[in-house]
Amino acid sequence: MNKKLILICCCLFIKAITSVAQDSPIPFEVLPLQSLSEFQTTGNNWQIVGDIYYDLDGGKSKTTSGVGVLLNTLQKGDNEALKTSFEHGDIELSLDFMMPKGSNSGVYLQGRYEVQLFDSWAEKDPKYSDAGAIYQRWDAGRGAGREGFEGHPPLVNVSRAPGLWQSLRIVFQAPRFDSNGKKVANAKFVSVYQNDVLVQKNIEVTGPTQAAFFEDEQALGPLVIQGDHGGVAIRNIKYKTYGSGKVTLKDMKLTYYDSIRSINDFAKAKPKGEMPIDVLAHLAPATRNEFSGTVEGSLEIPSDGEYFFHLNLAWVPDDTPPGNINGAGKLFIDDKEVVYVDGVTGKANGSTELTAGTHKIKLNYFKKYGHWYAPSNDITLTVEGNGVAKTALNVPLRADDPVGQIAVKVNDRAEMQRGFIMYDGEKRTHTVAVGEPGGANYAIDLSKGELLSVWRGDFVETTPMWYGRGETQLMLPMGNVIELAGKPSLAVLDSKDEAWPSGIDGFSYEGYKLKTNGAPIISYRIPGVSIQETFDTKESGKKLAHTLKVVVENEDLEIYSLIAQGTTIEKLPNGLYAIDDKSYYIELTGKQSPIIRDSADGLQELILPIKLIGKSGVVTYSIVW
Amino acid sequence: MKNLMNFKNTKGFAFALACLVIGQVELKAQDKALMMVPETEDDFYKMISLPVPEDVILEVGGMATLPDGSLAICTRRGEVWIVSSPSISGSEKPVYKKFASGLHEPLGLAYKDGDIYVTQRSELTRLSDTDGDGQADVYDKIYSWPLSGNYHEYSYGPTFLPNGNMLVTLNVGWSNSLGHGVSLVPWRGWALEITPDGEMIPFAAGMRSPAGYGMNAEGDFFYTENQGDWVGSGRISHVEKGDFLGNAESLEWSDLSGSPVTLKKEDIPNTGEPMYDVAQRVSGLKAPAIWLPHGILGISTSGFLNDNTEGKFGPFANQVFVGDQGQSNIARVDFEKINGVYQGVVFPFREGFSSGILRMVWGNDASMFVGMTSRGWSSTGKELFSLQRLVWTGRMPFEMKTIKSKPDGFEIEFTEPVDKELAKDPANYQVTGFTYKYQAQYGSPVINNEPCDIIGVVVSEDGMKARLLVDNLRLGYIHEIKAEGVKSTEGKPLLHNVGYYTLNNFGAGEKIDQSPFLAARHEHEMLMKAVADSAAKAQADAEAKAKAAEAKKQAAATTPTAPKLAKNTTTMPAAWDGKADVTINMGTKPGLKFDPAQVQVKAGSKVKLVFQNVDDMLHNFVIVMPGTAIEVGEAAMKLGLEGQQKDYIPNTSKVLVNTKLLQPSESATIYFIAPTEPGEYTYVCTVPGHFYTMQGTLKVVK
Repeated sequence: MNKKLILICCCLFIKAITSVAQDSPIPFEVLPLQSLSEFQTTGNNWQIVGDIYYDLDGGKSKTTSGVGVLLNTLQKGDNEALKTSFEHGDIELSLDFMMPKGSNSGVYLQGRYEVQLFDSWAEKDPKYSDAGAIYQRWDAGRGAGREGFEGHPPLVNVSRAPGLWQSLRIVFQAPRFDSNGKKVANAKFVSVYQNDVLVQKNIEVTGPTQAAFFEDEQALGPLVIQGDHGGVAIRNIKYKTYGSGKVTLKDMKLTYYDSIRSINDFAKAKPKGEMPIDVLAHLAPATRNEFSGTVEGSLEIPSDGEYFFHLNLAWVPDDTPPGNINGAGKLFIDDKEVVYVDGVTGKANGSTELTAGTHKIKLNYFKKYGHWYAPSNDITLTVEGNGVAKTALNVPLRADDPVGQIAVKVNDRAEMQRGFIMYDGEKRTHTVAVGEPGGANYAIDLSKGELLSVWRGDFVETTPMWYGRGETQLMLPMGNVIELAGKPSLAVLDSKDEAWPSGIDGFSYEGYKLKTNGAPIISYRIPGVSIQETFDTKESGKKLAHTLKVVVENEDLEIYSLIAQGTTIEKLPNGLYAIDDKSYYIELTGKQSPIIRDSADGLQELILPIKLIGKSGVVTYSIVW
Repeated sequence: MKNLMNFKNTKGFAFALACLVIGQVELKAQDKALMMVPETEDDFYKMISLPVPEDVILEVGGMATLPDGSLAICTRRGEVWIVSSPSISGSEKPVYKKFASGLHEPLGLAYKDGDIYVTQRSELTRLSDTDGDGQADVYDKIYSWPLSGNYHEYSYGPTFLPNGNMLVTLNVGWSNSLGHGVSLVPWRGWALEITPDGEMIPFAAGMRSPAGYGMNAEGDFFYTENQGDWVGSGRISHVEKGDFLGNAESLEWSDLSGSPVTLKKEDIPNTGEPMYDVAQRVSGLKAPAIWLPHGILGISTSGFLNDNTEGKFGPFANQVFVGDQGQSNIARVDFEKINGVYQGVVFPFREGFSSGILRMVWGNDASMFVGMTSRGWSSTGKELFSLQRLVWTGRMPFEMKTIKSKPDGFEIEFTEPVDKELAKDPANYQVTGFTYKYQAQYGSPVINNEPCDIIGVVVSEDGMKARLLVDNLRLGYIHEIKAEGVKSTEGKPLLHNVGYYTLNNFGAGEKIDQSPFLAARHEHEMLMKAVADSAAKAQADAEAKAKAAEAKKQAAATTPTAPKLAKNTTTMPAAWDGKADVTINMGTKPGLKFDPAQVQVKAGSKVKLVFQNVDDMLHNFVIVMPGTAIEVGEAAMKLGLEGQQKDYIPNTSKVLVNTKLLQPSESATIYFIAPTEPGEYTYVCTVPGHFYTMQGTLKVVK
């Protein structure tokens, strides 16, 4: 490869990494799960363990003693729910859960509003009773057969197989009451993400779920995990609770200027005018691509503590060369600089200790010229603090131009789409995505013979390719993406200890043939070896078999297949391999002897030598998730 | 005119001249009445729209005719459709069958030996139907090239060469932050030759957006180029191995192994001189065979189709048709090769297609199928995509069939015999030479335009040819040749009375003796001078009178009226005391849109308007009287060569306010008084091809 090309690829890669979004700086409260004393007294169906193995097919499970994992195992007789010692109102909650085969549990916000946990593996038509659903309410008065109502199935079923860790993130708002105790606002699930895919958004619930632990509605209640329906394992319970206190910004005044060209010009610039404003936007007379202003106002802080600010000036693109910025901004609180947007990107964070009460705020910003690909002039200032939920201050009302989603649908035949796809923060340009009728989807970098990712559910959204000019040309997987090794699937190694190569000299993609179901048989060549790659879904899409056939010119070659890579690789009692902290399984067929080894980059690898019979060999394994 | 010479009294002469002119006008009107309806393009070439099933998004990227008469069409959404029985009439419908899918924005398709070849963004691919079910089941990579991931890296082709190899042409990317094209990875901006078994030979460099490609009747390869950086106007270049065709960005890779191009980026001067002149001293830089004047014959040159129908499509056998995406029209080109270098003429041919033209192919019935898409750029034809068929009605249009270069001028050949009296009068022709800047900046105005004197005309015995003796012809220049006054023997005017000849070499042949023409002209000039002097005096008298009347009127007015602002006032009028009543920020959005699309102002208020062109093409901002946007736009188009020099602002009272023509990323500020009459005025970009779409509403309220 040409040196210039390598340089460019590196630049693109670095750019992609720096644009990863910032997480909230406020730490979550963590339940360490060292002992059950962290909860209200409960039944003996609950225990704390170090690890749990659930068999994919519902066989015998196995616990490892230790701490950090909360385990519910149904007992004969008494099975109780688990209630937290703390009570919450508004909350942001995140946890991992694992379902044994066929099991049923649930997370009740305030002990009243349930997000359902269920073994919904590969369910095609999820209902209110599937994982990620908000379980229905119940009213006997509605008449026989009609008692259940207001259940909310997940927007998409992204459940993984039994025995795999899955994630759940919930942002919940408690109901609001007036001083007489009368409810004035319903409880609301602002968002629920399962396995990082949005499954509920802005759902108001009019009252407690069927079989809630309390029948009334209150400002506060404990978090409850259902224990009497089925086994479940939970870990990494983290939360932030929020009080009713809010940060507000008032009495804003905008001073505007004519000639600000740099962030340092504000000190000496002569104001051109002043006006009162009520939303954070440059409302003074100016051109759309040249303006500058200082917003001053009063910031009301509800309670003492450290507050975190994030400022985003939308007109500053993320890829601005440092010497040629088109704008910048600075936030001061009580005359102290808190956030500085330097103009290389439009976003920056900062924090400061504040006492309850009124503080002086000042925001300087300017724009020198515009980029058509960063057309918005939005100024977004968000704040959060301990007990104070992240809020964007004084946002003007606006909406983007409406653009309907364009997607490729899979019906009774596999679909393929060539295009660009993101992998590990990098845009891959020579990829194909394949959607199988069973709902299993995968993406391959054809130019390198690398299996990039799998996901289950809908196939790909193509709006970024097919709307307007298609600026990014990206395909967006419509489901819970598991990123795989992203390294060449096959390599010729001198020995089983040779490091897995990041690229293969002389590798060449040749093309593909379609099987009768429309899925591809992909051909590649590396010097001395021709390769055919196929995928087959098994058990109606629950498993994806990956097969690589090789034909060699010289039988002495030692060819290996990279089956998986991850932080951990464990061989399970049922013969499956659990990859990357039980994110997915690898199922090998027949008598194959894989090697688990450390990779050069600090991970573990599962590799398999390919046994040649004559001049040909084959390797097949299934990805199960 | 001869009888006029008898007039001695100049006063009487002027009067007689006036009478005569009026008389002629009346006579013309009578002629027309006898001739019935004036002829239109549609009388000769009928346009038929093919129905497309509702669930098929047929954004045509490439097209070929299969031996059975079906069309194979690849789409920007990555599908290949076989459209059988496309030569429909009446209520018949063609049959659509999906042949392949899942490709990455294929923008070219060819058929060879039972297989379909497509050029995807990253790959030249062969599609085969091995089981005979009418659907591709083998997608073989022939060759793949790197991509940076930039949206503007479009890939086109293939064209099969006689040796069985294929040529593909590759766009450069577009850098948002730099505001110009960039070649981020090899071989963006190049043509590549690819063997059937996947060997790649770099072929030529210097392309910007090589959307059209193909061979002429002689089998030489050409590509069509879009206006932009290093490309002053649309153009057609003859491409031979090792050529550098103008866009310097591609030279980033001329040092890679196998490159037949040795020029480096720094070898290319960015002086704004005409490209032909630069090519004289920069060896390896090839000037185009034909320029297409921007805004007049298109704004984004696309498909290239040689007329191999042997006359079944009309009188233009072996000429070439060239499509245009932005203006939804097709031009007609005739090449000639002189001293081994191509040049030739381009004429308007057919307008009014329903979307942006990308591809044209011949059907087996010698009708032309035209495949279109306008997504992302917009076009005069409003549809998002379309498939149309152009059929010759069998009637002979009266056209300039071709124009050839001669050592002392041009020879126009007509499709029908001309009225010799009219055809031999130089006054019925007009020739203007002009060119464009060769520069890294986006586009170019017309530069160095000068009239070319027509010394005389010799009409051939059969009335089919007119030989123009023309002065001031310049090599490398485009020559606009108008023949407005020429009529056929039946009195028909030309269907299109203009052609644009790019002169790279003078044609061979005998020169014509100029002396008889010069002698006759001397006599004529003496006469005309007398006429002109008299007319000028009359004019001066009238002007003086008008001036006096105006002065009287001014004096009579009780209060001095405020001076009216010029339409393009770029500094704040002093009378405003440094303050406008309102400031409007106007921008653009991709797809030919103003942002915002509606603005409200108070009648009579003082307005400061800042227009920022944040698009990747040229735009202006023009406020016009209600309901006159199209009329003004069409008038702008009629400015012809002067269009860009005049910022596409026609001289009409319908235009109330305008900015100049802005480069990408440029801004301009104007000041105006809002109309005093409330109503919904229109603001429009009058750039040809833009004004149909790019409009907004200026609401003037009390």
